Amino acid sequence: MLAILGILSAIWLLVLVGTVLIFHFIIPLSLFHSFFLNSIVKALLSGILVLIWLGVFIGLTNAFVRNYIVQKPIESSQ
Amino acid sequence: MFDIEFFLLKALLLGGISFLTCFFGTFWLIGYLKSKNMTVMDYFKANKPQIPRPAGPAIVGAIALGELALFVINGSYAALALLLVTLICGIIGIVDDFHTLSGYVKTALLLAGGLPIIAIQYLVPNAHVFNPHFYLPLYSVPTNIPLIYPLLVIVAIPVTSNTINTIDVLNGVASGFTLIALVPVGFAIGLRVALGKGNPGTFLLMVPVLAATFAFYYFHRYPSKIFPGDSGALALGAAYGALAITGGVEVVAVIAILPAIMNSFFFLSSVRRLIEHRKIKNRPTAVLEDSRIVATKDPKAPVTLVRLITATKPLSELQIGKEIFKLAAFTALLAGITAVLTWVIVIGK
Repeated sequence: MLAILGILSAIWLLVLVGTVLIFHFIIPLSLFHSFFLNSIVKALLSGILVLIWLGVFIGLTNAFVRNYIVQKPIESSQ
Repeated sequence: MFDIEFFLLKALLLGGISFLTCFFGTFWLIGYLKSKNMTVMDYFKANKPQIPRPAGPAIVGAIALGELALFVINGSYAALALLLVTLICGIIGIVDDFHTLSGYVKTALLLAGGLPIIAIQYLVPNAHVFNPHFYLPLYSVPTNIPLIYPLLVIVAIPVTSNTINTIDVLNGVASGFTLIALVPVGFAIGLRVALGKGNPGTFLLMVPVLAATFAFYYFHRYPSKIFPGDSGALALGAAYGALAITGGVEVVAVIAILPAIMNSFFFLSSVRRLIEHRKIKNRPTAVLEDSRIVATKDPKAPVTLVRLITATKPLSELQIGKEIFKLAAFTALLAGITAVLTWVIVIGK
């Protein structure tokens, strides 16, 4: 149960952190004079951040969950 | 000026209509389905009893009647949209109950579930079904996404309806889980109204859904006297998704059903395709002689929430249900905190 609560908490924190990163740091960026170019850059950076987040999260949790289920010994029944 | 007494009266009326419709409708369906031998085996019980299924028509009818009453009383087009979304997804579920649809076909059909929301918003003047201003936690300014939001609506309904459907694995779980998830959604809507960022009428949208789910839970809780079937589970999920959209509490609603999303996510990433759970050959769990459920060690079996919960020790169906409700309560708390972080505590401009 603790493992599942940990995964749920991690997802929730990542949503909050992702929101802060994207909307407080990436969106206010103004690297170019062109509005169009700035929009492209912001969309790309946000997309890359989300993909990295998803990739790391999917990889780690899948590996953890599979190990947790397959390797964890089952307690003897009471 | 806001008349609280009239508001409470409307809430009681809507809740009463939906609760009584679902309660007596489900009661009648139990007898009717048994008389027609429309039952399925309760797999996790020692004596493998036959349980009537589906209760979807009662759930769909109750939510639809309640939302129709709200549309008539308040002229709320959001209620009409929610009614139609629930109806469409409930009908798709009924078809699936009697002629099992493939995962891809069902998902494609469920895309139509979001269409009433879009259609009414853009075809009916001043309908105000949803607001394309997307509120995010810790960010004071809502993000206006007028082009992307309708696409998210179309995708959201199949996601929420399938998510609740995939958590319908044990007695009472789908309805109990939805009940718990509705608490932070109601809190978030109430918070928006209290802070002047929402219409009090939006809160009434939730009442028929809550009342119908509560009435159904009475029969669905362990040991179940009736199963919701795909019609009931898809309708509940669709109503939940439509409520999140019309109430403008999308992120809170997603956080509240995280355990179910996690269940769907792990299942999909394990099997890597949309497949009916009945067609899975490598079982994620096994039933012991004393009816307790334990996770299998088969590395090819899909990862599911129940498999995770029973990974360390066998548990009875009732115990697993309680563990799922504890997880739902935990994410409901996180969703409530998210609501506060979205509309009360914000950073920046």
